[in-house]
Amino acid sequence: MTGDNINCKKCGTTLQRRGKAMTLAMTCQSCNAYFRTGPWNKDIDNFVHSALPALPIGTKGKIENVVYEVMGFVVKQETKYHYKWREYLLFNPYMGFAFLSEYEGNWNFIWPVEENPKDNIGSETSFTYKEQKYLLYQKYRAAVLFAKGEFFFDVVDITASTVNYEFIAPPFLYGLEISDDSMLWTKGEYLSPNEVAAAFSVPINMLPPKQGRSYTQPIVTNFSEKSLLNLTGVFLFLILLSQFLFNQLASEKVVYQGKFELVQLSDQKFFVTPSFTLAENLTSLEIDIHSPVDNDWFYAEFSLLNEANGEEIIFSKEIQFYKGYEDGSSWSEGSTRGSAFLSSIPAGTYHINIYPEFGFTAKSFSMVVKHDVPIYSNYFIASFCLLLFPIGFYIRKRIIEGNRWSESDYSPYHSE
Amino acid sequence: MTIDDLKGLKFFILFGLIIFGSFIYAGATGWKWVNFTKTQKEKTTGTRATRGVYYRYHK
Repeated sequence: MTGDNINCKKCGTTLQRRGKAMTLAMTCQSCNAYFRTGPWNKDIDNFVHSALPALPIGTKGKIENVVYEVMGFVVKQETKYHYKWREYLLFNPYMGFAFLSEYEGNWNFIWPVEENPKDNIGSETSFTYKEQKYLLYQKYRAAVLFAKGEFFFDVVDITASTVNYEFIAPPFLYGLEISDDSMLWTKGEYLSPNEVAAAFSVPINMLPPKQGRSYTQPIVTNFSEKSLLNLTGVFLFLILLSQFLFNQLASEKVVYQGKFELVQLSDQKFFVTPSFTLAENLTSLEIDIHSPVDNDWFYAEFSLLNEANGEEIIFSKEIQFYKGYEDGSSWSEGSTRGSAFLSSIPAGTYHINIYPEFGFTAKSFSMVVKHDVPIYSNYFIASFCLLLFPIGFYIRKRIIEGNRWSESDYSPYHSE
Repeated sequence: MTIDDLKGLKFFILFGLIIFGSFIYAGATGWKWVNFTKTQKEKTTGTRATRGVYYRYHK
Protein backbone atom coordinates (compact mmCIF):
# COMPACT_ATOMS: atom_id res chain seq x y z
CA MET A 1 0.00 0.00 0.00
CA THR A 2 1.52 3.30 -1.08
CA GLY A 3 0.01 6.83 -1.02
CA ASP A 4 -3.36 6.80 -2.76
CA ASN A 5 -3.18 3.09 -3.42
CA ILE A 6 -4.41 0.28 -1.22
CA ASN A 7 -4.34 -3.48 -1.54
CA CYS A 8 -7.54 -5.49 -1.52
CA LYS A 9 -7.78 -7.28 1.79
CA LYS A 10 -9.14 -10.36 0.10
CA CYS A 11 -7.24 -10.84 -3.15
CA GLY A 12 -4.38 -8.39 -2.69
CA THR A 13 -5.02 -6.45 -5.89
CA THR A 14 -3.61 -2.94 -5.74
CA LEU A 15 -6.46 -0.44 -5.92
CA GLN A 16 -6.36 3.30 -6.46
CA ARG A 17 -8.32 5.38 -3.98
CA ARG A 18 -9.99 8.33 -5.67
CA GLY A 19 -10.96 9.72 -2.30
CA LYS A 20 -7.45 9.29 -0.96
CA ALA A 21 -7.40 9.19 2.85
CA MET A 22 -11.11 10.07 3.05
CA THR A 23 -12.05 6.69 1.68
CA LEU A 24 -12.95 4.50 4.64
CA ALA A 25 -14.54 1.59 2.79
CA MET A 26 -14.41 0.34 -0.78
CA THR A 27 -14.89 -2.59 -3.08
CA CYS A 28 -12.25 -4.44 -5.06
CA GLN A 29 -12.44 -4.08 -8.81
CA SER A 30 -11.14 -7.63 -9.21
CA CYS A 31 -12.93 -9.77 -6.62
CA ASN A 32 -15.80 -7.34 -5.74
CA ALA A 33 -15.09 -7.80 -2.04
CA TYR A 34 -16.18 -4.98 0.26
CA PHE A 35 -13.68 -4.05 2.95
CA ARG A 36 -12.80 -1.22 5.32
CA THR A 37 -9.54 0.58 4.69
CA GLY A 38 -8.69 1.07 8.35
CA PRO A 39 -7.85 -1.42 11.08
CA TRP A 40 -11.06 -0.96 13.10
CA ASN A 41 -12.99 -3.60 11.20
CA LYS A 42 -11.29 -6.36 9.30
CA ASP A 43 -14.50 -8.01 8.06
CA ILE A 44 -14.73 -8.62 4.35
CA ASP A 45 -18.19 -8.72 2.80
CA ASN A 46 -19.08 -10.51 -0.36
CA PHE A 47 -22.41 -9.56 -1.88
CA VAL A 48 -24.76 -12.18 -3.22
CA HIS A 49 -26.50 -9.64 -5.41
CA SER A 50 -25.01 -7.77 -8.30
CA ALA A 51 -26.08 -4.64 -10.13
CA LEU A 52 -24.80 -2.32 -12.78
CA PRO A 53 -24.86 1.38 -11.93
CA ALA A 54 -26.60 3.57 -14.50
CA LEU A 55 -23.99 6.21 -13.67
CA PRO A 56 -20.62 4.39 -13.75
CA ILE A 57 -18.05 5.01 -11.00
CA GLY A 58 -15.90 7.97 -11.96
CA THR A 59 -18.59 9.68 -14.03
CA LYS A 60 -18.67 13.42 -13.50
CA GLY A 61 -21.75 15.58 -13.58
CA LYS A 62 -22.79 19.10 -12.71
CA ILE A 63 -25.67 19.62 -10.31
CA GLU A 64 -26.58 23.16 -9.27
CA ASN A 65 -23.33 24.37 -10.81
CA VAL A 66 -21.20 22.03 -8.69
CA VAL A 67 -19.19 19.30 -10.42
CA TYR A 68 -19.56 15.99 -8.63
CA GLU A 69 -17.84 12.69 -9.29
CA VAL A 70 -19.58 9.39 -8.74
CA MET A 71 -17.54 7.65 -6.04
CA GLY A 72 -19.73 4.78 -4.94
CA PHE A 73 -22.89 2.90 -5.78
CA VAL A 74 -25.09 0.86 -3.45
CA VAL A 75 -28.28 -1.12 -3.77
CA LYS A 76 -30.36 -0.96 -0.60
CA GLN A 77 -33.39 -2.92 0.47
CA GLU A 78 -35.97 -1.85 2.99
CA THR A 79 -36.27 -4.50 5.67
CA LYS A 80 -40.06 -4.51 6.17
CA TYR A 81 -41.54 -4.25 2.68
CA HIS A 82 -38.40 -5.40 0.86
CA TYR A 83 -38.44 -2.79 -1.90
CA LYS A 84 -35.07 -1.86 -3.35
CA TRP A 85 -33.52 1.37 -4.47
CA ARG A 86 -30.12 2.58 -5.56
CA GLU A 87 -27.88 5.30 -4.20
CA TYR A 88 -24.88 6.98 -5.76
CA LEU A 89 -22.27 8.61 -3.55
CA LEU A 90 -21.10 11.87 -5.14
CA PHE A 91 -18.07 13.91 -4.18
CA ASN A 92 -16.80 17.40 -4.77
CA PRO A 93 -13.53 18.47 -3.08
CA TYR A 94 -15.03 21.79 -1.94
CA MET A 95 -18.65 20.88 -1.29
CA GLY A 96 -18.05 17.44 0.21
CA PHE A 97 -20.25 14.45 -0.46
CA ALA A 98 -23.84 14.14 -1.58
CA PHE A 99 -26.12 11.40 -2.87
CA LEU A 100 -28.30 10.61 -5.80
CA SER A 101 -31.10 8.26 -4.87
CA GLU A 102 -33.01 6.39 -7.55
CA TYR A 103 -36.18 4.32 -7.17
CA GLU A 104 -38.06 3.07 -10.21
CA GLY A 105 -36.49 5.75 -12.37
CA ASN A 106 -37.34 8.56 -9.96
CA TRP A 107 -34.41 10.56 -8.66
CA ASN A 108 -33.61 12.68 -5.61
CA PHE A 109 -30.47 14.71 -5.06
CA ILE A 110 -29.63 14.54 -1.34
CA TRP A 111 -26.96 16.34 0.63
CA PRO A 112 -26.06 16.46 4.35
CA VAL A 113 -27.05 19.57 6.28
CA GLU A 114 -25.83 20.88 9.59
CA GLU A 115 -29.13 22.36 10.72
CA ASN A 116 -31.72 20.37 12.58
CA PRO A 117 -34.93 21.43 10.84
CA LYS A 118 -37.14 19.60 13.31
CA ASP A 119 -35.28 20.73 16.41
CA ASN A 120 -37.78 18.88 18.60
CA ILE A 121 -40.53 21.15 17.35
CA GLY A 122 -43.63 19.63 15.83
CA SER A 123 -45.07 16.18 16.19
CA GLU A 124 -43.42 12.88 15.43
CA THR A 125 -44.95 12.89 11.98
CA SER A 126 -44.53 16.49 10.92
CA PHE A 127 -42.65 19.73 11.46
CA THR A 128 -42.54 23.15 9.92
CA TYR A 129 -39.25 24.63 8.84
CA LYS A 130 -38.81 27.94 7.04
CA GLU A 131 -42.57 28.25 6.58
CA GLN A 132 -42.74 24.87 4.85
CA LYS A 133 -44.55 21.98 6.45
CA TYR A 134 -42.85 18.61 6.14
CA LEU A 135 -44.79 15.39 6.69
CA LEU A 136 -43.33 12.04 7.62
CA TYR A 137 -43.54 9.81 4.56
CA GLN A 138 -41.60 6.80 5.70
CA LYS A 139 -39.67 5.37 8.58
CA TYR A 140 -37.54 2.37 7.78
CA ARG A 141 -34.48 0.26 8.30
CA ALA A 142 -32.47 -0.94 5.35
CA ALA A 143 -29.65 -3.26 4.37
CA VAL A 144 -27.05 -2.98 1.66
CA LEU A 145 -27.48 -5.69 -0.95
CA PHE A 146 -24.66 -4.58 -3.18
CA ALA A 147 -21.94 -1.95 -3.16
CA LYS A 148 -19.38 -0.81 -5.66
CA GLY A 149 -16.73 1.91 -5.50
CA GLU A 150 -15.50 3.97 -2.58
CA PHE A 151 -17.22 5.32 0.48
CA PHE A 152 -16.33 7.92 3.09
CA PHE A 153 -18.07 5.88 5.75
CA ASP A 154 -18.81 2.24 6.31
CA VAL A 155 -21.95 2.20 4.22
CA VAL A 156 -22.80 -1.42 5.06
CA ASP A 157 -22.60 -1.06 8.83
CA ILE A 158 -24.13 2.42 8.97
CA THR A 159 -27.06 1.35 6.80
CA ALA A 160 -27.67 -1.68 9.00
CA SER A 161 -27.47 0.26 12.25
CA THR A 162 -29.57 3.30 11.49
CA VAL A 163 -33.26 4.06 11.52
CA ASN A 164 -34.28 6.38 8.73
CA TYR A 165 -37.01 8.98 8.67
CA GLU A 166 -38.05 10.88 5.57
CA PHE A 167 -40.21 13.98 5.78
CA ILE A 168 -41.44 15.41 2.50
CA ALA A 169 -42.72 18.69 1.13
CA PRO A 170 -42.43 18.08 -2.61
CA PRO A 171 -40.10 18.68 -4.31
CA PHE A 172 -38.06 18.72 -1.09
CA LEU A 173 -37.41 16.17 1.59
CA TYR A 174 -35.56 16.03 4.85
CA GLY A 175 -33.98 12.74 5.80
CA LEU A 176 -32.89 11.78 9.29
CA GLU A 177 -30.58 8.87 10.00
CA ILE A 178 -30.42 7.91 13.66
CA SER A 179 -28.11 5.32 15.14
CA ASP A 180 -27.18 4.65 18.75
CA ASP A 181 -24.49 7.29 18.72
CA SER A 182 -25.14 9.55 15.76
CA MET A 183 -27.75 11.62 14.03
CA LEU A 184 -27.48 12.93 10.48
CA TRP A 185 -29.89 15.25 8.76
CA THR A 186 -29.96 15.40 4.98
CA LYS A 187 -31.95 17.52 2.60
CA GLY A 188 -33.11 16.35 -0.78
CA GLU A 189 -34.78 17.64 -3.89
CA TYR A 190 -36.54 15.82 -6.70
CA LEU A 191 -34.69 15.62 -10.01
CA SER A 192 -36.35 14.52 -13.21
CA PRO A 193 -34.63 11.81 -15.27
CA ASN A 194 -33.96 14.43 -17.93
CA GLU A 195 -32.17 16.62 -15.39
CA VAL A 196 -30.03 13.68 -14.24
CA ALA A 197 -29.20 12.69 -17.81
CA ALA A 198 -28.29 16.27 -18.66
CA ALA A 199 -26.23 16.70 -15.49
CA PHE A 200 -24.09 13.62 -16.18
CA SER A 201 -24.18 13.89 -19.98
CA VAL A 202 -25.60 10.42 -20.42
CA PRO A 203 -28.39 9.41 -22.81
CA ILE A 204 -31.78 9.31 -21.12
CA ASN A 205 -32.26 5.71 -22.24
CA MET A 206 -29.22 4.73 -20.16
CA LEU A 207 -31.19 5.55 -17.03
CA PRO A 208 -33.82 3.24 -15.56
CA PRO A 209 -37.26 3.94 -17.07
CA LYS A 210 -39.38 6.15 -14.88
CA GLN A 211 -42.35 4.40 -13.34
CA GLY A 212 -45.15 6.15 -11.54
CA ARG A 213 -44.75 9.37 -9.63
CA SER A 214 -41.97 9.93 -7.14
CA TYR A 215 -42.97 10.65 -3.57
CA THR A 216 -41.14 13.97 -3.90
CA GLN A 217 -42.24 14.79 -7.44
CA PRO A 218 -44.02 18.15 -7.37
CA ILE A 219 -47.33 18.78 -9.06
CA VAL A 220 -46.13 20.84 -11.96
CA THR A 221 -48.23 23.80 -13.00
CA ASN A 222 -47.10 26.83 -14.90
CA PHE A 223 -48.85 29.12 -12.46
CA SER A 224 -48.91 29.49 -8.72
CA GLU A 225 -51.83 28.29 -6.64
CA LYS A 226 -52.09 31.74 -5.07
CA SER A 227 -52.42 33.36 -8.51
CA LEU A 228 -55.27 31.03 -9.40
CA LEU A 229 -57.08 31.90 -6.18
CA ASN A 230 -56.45 35.61 -6.61
CA LEU A 231 -57.68 35.61 -10.19
CA THR A 232 -60.76 33.61 -9.26
CA GLY A 233 -61.41 36.14 -6.51
CA VAL A 234 -61.12 39.03 -8.98
CA PHE A 235 -63.64 37.47 -11.37
CA LEU A 236 -66.05 36.62 -8.55
CA PHE A 237 -65.81 40.18 -7.26
CA LEU A 238 -66.45 41.63 -10.72
CA ILE A 239 -69.54 39.47 -11.12
CA LEU A 240 -70.77 40.36 -7.65
CA LEU A 241 -70.23 44.05 -8.37
CA SER A 242 -72.03 43.75 -11.70
CA GLN A 243 -74.95 41.96 -10.05
CA PHE A 244 -75.15 44.74 -7.49
CA LEU A 245 -75.26 47.33 -10.28
CA PHE A 246 -77.91 45.37 -12.18
CA ASN A 247 -80.00 45.23 -9.01
CA GLN A 248 -79.64 48.99 -8.53
CA LEU A 249 -80.50 49.77 -12.14
CA ALA A 250 -83.45 47.39 -12.41
CA SER A 251 -86.70 49.36 -12.33
CA GLU A 252 -88.95 46.40 -11.38
CA LYS A 253 -91.83 48.47 -12.63
CA VAL A 254 -95.30 46.97 -12.29
CA VAL A 255 -96.82 47.46 -15.72
CA TYR A 256 -100.03 45.60 -15.00
CA GLN A 257 -101.85 43.92 -12.15
CA GLY A 258 -105.37 42.61 -12.04
CA LYS A 259 -107.75 40.04 -10.69
CA PHE A 260 -109.88 37.72 -12.78
CA GLU A 261 -113.02 35.80 -11.82
CA LEU A 262 -114.56 32.85 -13.56
CA VAL A 263 -117.93 34.59 -13.60
CA GLN A 264 -116.45 37.33 -15.78
CA LEU A 265 -116.16 34.85 -18.61
CA SER A 266 -119.25 34.92 -20.77
CA ASP A 267 -119.17 34.25 -24.49
CA GLN A 268 -115.46 34.59 -24.73
CA LYS A 269 -113.50 31.94 -22.88
CA PHE A 270 -110.47 34.05 -22.26
CA PHE A 271 -109.43 37.26 -20.57
CA VAL A 272 -107.70 40.18 -22.19
CA THR A 273 -105.62 42.60 -20.17
CA PRO A 274 -105.48 46.27 -20.97
CA SER A 275 -102.54 47.42 -23.06
CA PHE A 276 -99.33 48.28 -21.27
CA THR A 277 -96.09 49.75 -22.49
CA LEU A 278 -92.61 48.33 -22.03
CA ALA A 279 -90.35 51.35 -22.33
CA GLU A 280 -86.98 49.62 -21.99
CA ASN A 281 -85.81 47.58 -24.94
CA LEU A 282 -84.69 43.98 -24.39
CA THR A 283 -85.47 43.62 -20.74
CA SER A 284 -87.08 40.95 -18.68
CA LEU A 285 -90.72 40.47 -17.83
CA GLU A 286 -91.91 38.59 -14.78
CA ILE A 287 -95.49 37.45 -14.39
CA ASP A 288 -96.54 36.47 -10.87
CA ILE A 289 -99.79 34.54 -10.62
CA HIS A 290 -101.81 33.75 -7.55
CA SER A 291 -104.86 31.56 -7.29
CA PRO A 292 -106.45 30.60 -3.95
CA VAL A 293 -106.42 26.89 -4.74
CA ASP A 294 -106.96 24.50 -1.84
CA ASN A 295 -106.49 20.84 -2.64
CA ASP A 296 -107.04 22.00 -6.16
CA TRP A 297 -105.28 23.23 -9.28
CA PHE A 298 -105.34 26.11 -11.70
CA TYR A 299 -103.92 26.20 -15.20
CA ALA A 300 -103.72 28.95 -17.78
CA GLU A 301 -102.11 29.58 -21.10
CA PHE A 302 -100.89 33.11 -21.70
CA SER A 303 -100.18 34.95 -24.88
CA LEU A 304 -98.10 38.12 -24.65
CA LEU A 305 -98.90 40.00 -27.79
CA ASN A 306 -96.94 42.82 -29.35
CA GLU A 307 -99.63 45.12 -30.68
CA ALA A 308 -97.31 46.75 -33.20
CA ASN A 309 -96.22 43.69 -35.14
CA GLY A 310 -98.52 40.89 -33.97
CA GLU A 311 -95.75 38.76 -32.51
CA GLU A 312 -96.94 36.48 -29.75
CA ILE A 313 -95.02 34.84 -26.97
CA ILE A 314 -97.05 31.94 -25.63
CA PHE A 315 -96.41 30.33 -22.29
CA SER A 316 -98.37 28.43 -19.68
CA LYS A 317 -98.47 28.11 -15.94
CA GLU A 318 -99.96 25.54 -13.62
CA ILE A 319 -100.59 26.13 -9.95
CA GLN A 320 -101.55 23.39 -7.55
CA PHE A 321 -101.67 23.14 -3.82
CA TYR A 322 -102.60 20.10 -1.77
CA LYS A 323 -102.56 19.50 1.94
CA GLY A 324 -103.73 16.88 4.38
CA TYR A 325 -103.33 15.13 7.69
CA GLU A 326 -101.86 11.67 7.76
CA ASP A 327 -100.38 9.43 10.43
CA GLY A 328 -100.53 12.13 13.05
CA SER A 329 -98.86 14.85 11.04
CA SER A 330 -99.98 17.38 8.51
CA TRP A 331 -98.46 17.70 5.08
CA SER A 332 -98.71 20.00 2.14
CA GLU A 333 -97.24 20.25 -1.31
CA GLY A 334 -97.28 22.83 -4.04
CA SER A 335 -98.13 26.49 -3.72
CA THR A 336 -100.91 28.92 -4.44
CA ARG A 337 -98.42 31.08 -6.33
CA GLY A 338 -96.49 30.67 -9.53
CA SER A 339 -94.17 32.78 -11.60
CA ALA A 340 -93.24 32.95 -15.24
CA PHE A 341 -90.19 34.71 -16.59
CA LEU A 342 -89.74 36.04 -20.10
CA SER A 343 -86.27 37.01 -21.30
CA SER A 344 -85.23 39.85 -23.59
CA ILE A 345 -88.61 41.34 -24.45
CA PRO A 346 -88.37 44.19 -27.00
CA ALA A 347 -89.84 47.57 -26.11
CA GLY A 348 -93.39 48.19 -27.29
CA THR A 349 -97.04 48.12 -26.42
CA TYR A 350 -98.40 44.76 -25.33
CA HIS A 351 -101.39 43.05 -23.87
CA ILE A 352 -101.86 39.53 -22.57
CA ASN A 353 -104.55 37.07 -23.56
CA ILE A 354 -105.23 34.56 -20.80
CA TYR A 355 -106.91 31.21 -21.44
CA PRO A 356 -107.67 29.80 -17.98
CA GLU A 357 -108.77 26.38 -16.80
CA PHE A 358 -110.16 26.31 -13.30
CA GLY A 359 -110.29 23.34 -10.97
CA PHE A 360 -113.05 22.57 -8.53
CA THR A 361 -112.78 25.19 -5.82
CA ALA A 362 -110.81 28.23 -6.86
CA LYS A 363 -112.71 30.38 -9.29
CA SER A 364 -110.36 33.33 -9.51
CA PHE A 365 -106.75 34.28 -9.95
CA SER A 366 -104.70 37.44 -9.87
CA MET A 367 -101.71 38.47 -11.90
CA VAL A 368 -98.89 41.02 -11.50
CA VAL A 369 -96.67 41.84 -14.46
CA LYS A 370 -93.30 43.39 -13.64
CA HIS A 371 -90.92 44.83 -16.16
CA ASP A 372 -87.11 44.94 -15.90
CA VAL A 373 -86.55 42.64 -12.93
CA PRO A 374 -83.04 41.61 -11.83
CA ILE A 375 -81.93 38.06 -12.57
CA TYR A 376 -80.23 36.37 -9.63
CA SER A 377 -79.81 32.89 -11.05
CA ASN A 378 -77.30 34.11 -13.67
CA TYR A 379 -75.09 35.33 -10.84
CA PHE A 380 -75.00 31.92 -9.19
CA ILE A 381 -74.44 30.12 -12.49
CA ALA A 382 -71.59 32.45 -13.47
CA SER A 383 -69.97 32.09 -10.05
CA PHE A 384 -70.28 28.32 -10.22
CA CYS A 385 -68.75 28.24 -13.70
CA LEU A 386 -65.82 30.37 -12.52
CA LEU A 387 -65.27 28.04 -9.58
CA LEU A 388 -65.14 24.98 -11.84
CA PHE A 389 -61.52 25.63 -12.80
CA PRO A 390 -60.11 25.95 -9.26
CA ILE A 391 -62.36 23.10 -8.10
CA GLY A 392 -60.96 20.93 -10.90
CA PHE A 393 -57.46 22.03 -9.97
CA TYR A 394 -57.92 21.00 -6.34
CA ILE A 395 -59.62 17.71 -7.24
CA ARG A 396 -56.67 16.85 -9.49
CA LYS A 397 -54.26 17.86 -6.76
CA ARG A 398 -56.13 15.75 -4.20
CA ILE A 399 -56.04 12.70 -6.48
CA ILE A 400 -52.32 13.09 -7.13
CA GLU A 401 -51.58 13.61 -3.45
CA GLY A 402 -53.71 10.59 -2.58
CA ASN A 403 -51.71 8.46 -5.02
CA ARG A 404 -48.45 9.91 -3.73
CA TRP A 405 -49.29 8.87 -0.18
CA SER A 406 -50.85 5.53 -1.07
CA GLU A 407 -47.56 3.72 -0.41
CA SER A 408 -46.87 5.49 2.87
CA ASP A 409 -47.71 4.21 6.34
CA TYR A 410 -48.25 7.80 7.42
CA SER A 411 -50.67 9.05 4.79
CA PRO A 412 -52.78 12.03 5.86
CA TYR A 413 -55.35 10.91 3.27
CA HIS A 414 -55.91 7.33 4.34
CA SER A 415 -56.73 5.95 7.73
CA GLU A 416 -56.38 2.31 8.66
CA MET B 1 -48.92 37.35 -9.46
CA THR B 2 -46.25 37.35 -12.12
CA ILE B 3 -46.33 37.53 -15.89
CA ASP B 4 -45.52 33.81 -15.95
CA ASP B 5 -48.56 33.16 -13.76
CA LEU B 6 -50.75 35.12 -16.16
CA LYS B 7 -49.33 33.18 -19.10
CA GLY B 8 -49.95 29.92 -17.27
CA LEU B 9 -53.50 30.97 -16.51
CA LYS B 10 -54.29 32.32 -19.98
CA PHE B 11 -57.00 29.75 -20.66
CA PHE B 12 -58.62 30.43 -17.30
CA ILE B 13 -58.43 34.18 -17.97
CA LEU B 14 -60.05 33.66 -21.38
CA PHE B 15 -62.72 31.45 -19.81
CA GLY B 16 -63.33 34.00 -17.06
CA LEU B 17 -63.65 36.85 -19.55
CA ILE B 18 -66.16 34.86 -21.62
CA ILE B 19 -68.21 34.09 -18.50
CA PHE B 20 -68.01 37.68 -17.31
CA GLY B 21 -68.86 39.07 -20.77
CA SER B 22 -71.81 36.72 -21.09
CA PHE B 23 -72.98 37.69 -17.63
CA ILE B 24 -72.87 41.40 -18.49
CA TYR B 25 -74.65 40.82 -21.80
CA ALA B 26 -77.32 38.68 -20.11
CA GLY B 27 -77.83 41.28 -17.39
CA ALA B 28 -78.10 44.10 -19.91
CA THR B 29 -80.61 42.28 -22.10
CA GLY B 30 -82.68 40.54 -19.45
CA TRP B 31 -81.54 37.13 -20.65
CA LYS B 32 -82.07 34.45 -18.05
CA TRP B 33 -79.69 31.57 -18.76
CA VAL B 34 -81.78 28.88 -17.14
CA ASN B 35 -85.44 29.67 -17.58
CA PHE B 36 -88.03 27.10 -16.63
CA THR B 37 -90.74 29.08 -18.39
CA LYS B 38 -91.12 27.38 -21.75
CA THR B 39 -92.19 29.79 -24.44
CA GLN B 40 -93.34 29.50 -27.98
CA LYS B 41 -93.31 32.33 -30.49
CA GLU B 42 -95.98 32.89 -33.06
CA LYS B 43 -96.73 35.62 -35.53
CA THR B 44 -100.38 36.61 -35.87
CA THR B 45 -101.30 37.36 -39.45
CA GLY B 46 -104.46 38.59 -41.10
CA THR B 47 -105.63 40.57 -38.17
CA ARG B 48 -105.09 44.01 -36.83
CA ALA B 49 -103.69 42.34 -33.79
CA THR B 50 -104.99 44.64 -31.17
CA ARG B 51 -107.37 42.62 -29.06
CA GLY B 52 -107.99 39.03 -28.28
CA VAL B 53 -111.27 38.91 -30.11
CA TYR B 54 -109.26 38.41 -33.26
CA TYR B 55 -107.53 35.27 -32.09
CA ARG B 56 -108.47 31.68 -32.23
CA TYR B 57 -109.80 30.07 -29.12
CA HIS B 58 -106.92 28.08 -27.70
CA LYS B 59 -108.63 25.82 -25.21
